[in-house]
Amino acid sequence: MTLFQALGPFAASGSGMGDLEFITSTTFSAASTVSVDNCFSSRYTHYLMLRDVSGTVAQNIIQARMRVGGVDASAANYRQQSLTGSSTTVSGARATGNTAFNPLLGYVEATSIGLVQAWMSNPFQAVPTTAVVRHTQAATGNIVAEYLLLAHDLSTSYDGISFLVAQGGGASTGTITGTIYIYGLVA
Amino acid sequence: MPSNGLRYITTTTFTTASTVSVDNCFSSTYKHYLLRGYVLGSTGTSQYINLRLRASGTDASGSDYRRQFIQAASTSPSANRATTDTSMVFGRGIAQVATAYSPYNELWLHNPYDAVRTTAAVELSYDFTGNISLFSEVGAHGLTTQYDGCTIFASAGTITGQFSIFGLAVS
Repeated sequence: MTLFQALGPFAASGSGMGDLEFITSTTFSAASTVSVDNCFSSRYTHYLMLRDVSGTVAQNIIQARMRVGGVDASAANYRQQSLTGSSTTVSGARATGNTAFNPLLGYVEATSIGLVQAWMSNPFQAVPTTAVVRHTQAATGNIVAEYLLLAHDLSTSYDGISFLVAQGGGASTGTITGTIYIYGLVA
Repeated sequence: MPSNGLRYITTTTFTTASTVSVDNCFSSTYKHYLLRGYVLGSTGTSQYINLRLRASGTDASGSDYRRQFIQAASTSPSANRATTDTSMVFGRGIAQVATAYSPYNELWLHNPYDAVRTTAAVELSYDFTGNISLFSEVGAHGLTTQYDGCTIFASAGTITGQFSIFGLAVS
């Protein structure tokens, strides 16, 4: 699902009474892992995740693992394809056999909270979960646009998700502080 | 219990305007905003529609806007970056014609009212008269200032259109 498909009806109506519902938010401090249980349900098929998060080590990334019954799905079933714009260069990269979405909620910055929009489809349905992510960084210096399509291969129903700080391009693995918001689209 | 997540804030309609300012649309109630609508320029497809953040009725016009875009026109993807612009992109102009086109135009603003750097994401289409092209951009404003409004304006000529501002609930 694209942002256009997801949000077109709201703008068209102009009523503001769209069926994008706030489900939950989780606030944390100096965390290396954040788990959110019971956020996915049969009420929704598609979800939007936003974040206001800063971290202790710049260039760390926030990975994610699907979760059911309080247990992370950590097997090598995650795949992704990226499209990156950096100055005048357009590039792509594919990874299969990952043990997490890498990343799902973008890069960590020490001095700002960056931009991440992550749409996830079908986590609770017994089909492979997919996601679309757009993210960038807000720190001073250069700016890069990255788009990701992600998929989890198993046809498992997941009711939660874990976010994990990983080194990414950072010098080490630090912690994150902030809030993650989860919304659901009513079908 | 789930609550309505996308909440309507305001709509602005304008005709042959040089600038359009919306004050008091950003507040502590929301952190993330969606601007949806359409803007028709007066000079053609190469015309950019720009946006500046605004506080207490004054535009932030310093060289603090940074942006990176990817666009695709037929078989040719391309990209570019700017780090000292005086505005961010809101849309691409489509010359006003007798047949009304409805360009797709979506802008997300994150944290304009928070004392952190504002970030933005834009998706739009242009070249509606025959061809169609894709333009996608991310942007950031370098200052950690609270902004309560925004101004849109054309790089040349005037603008006609309408857009609405929505806020995403945080509880």
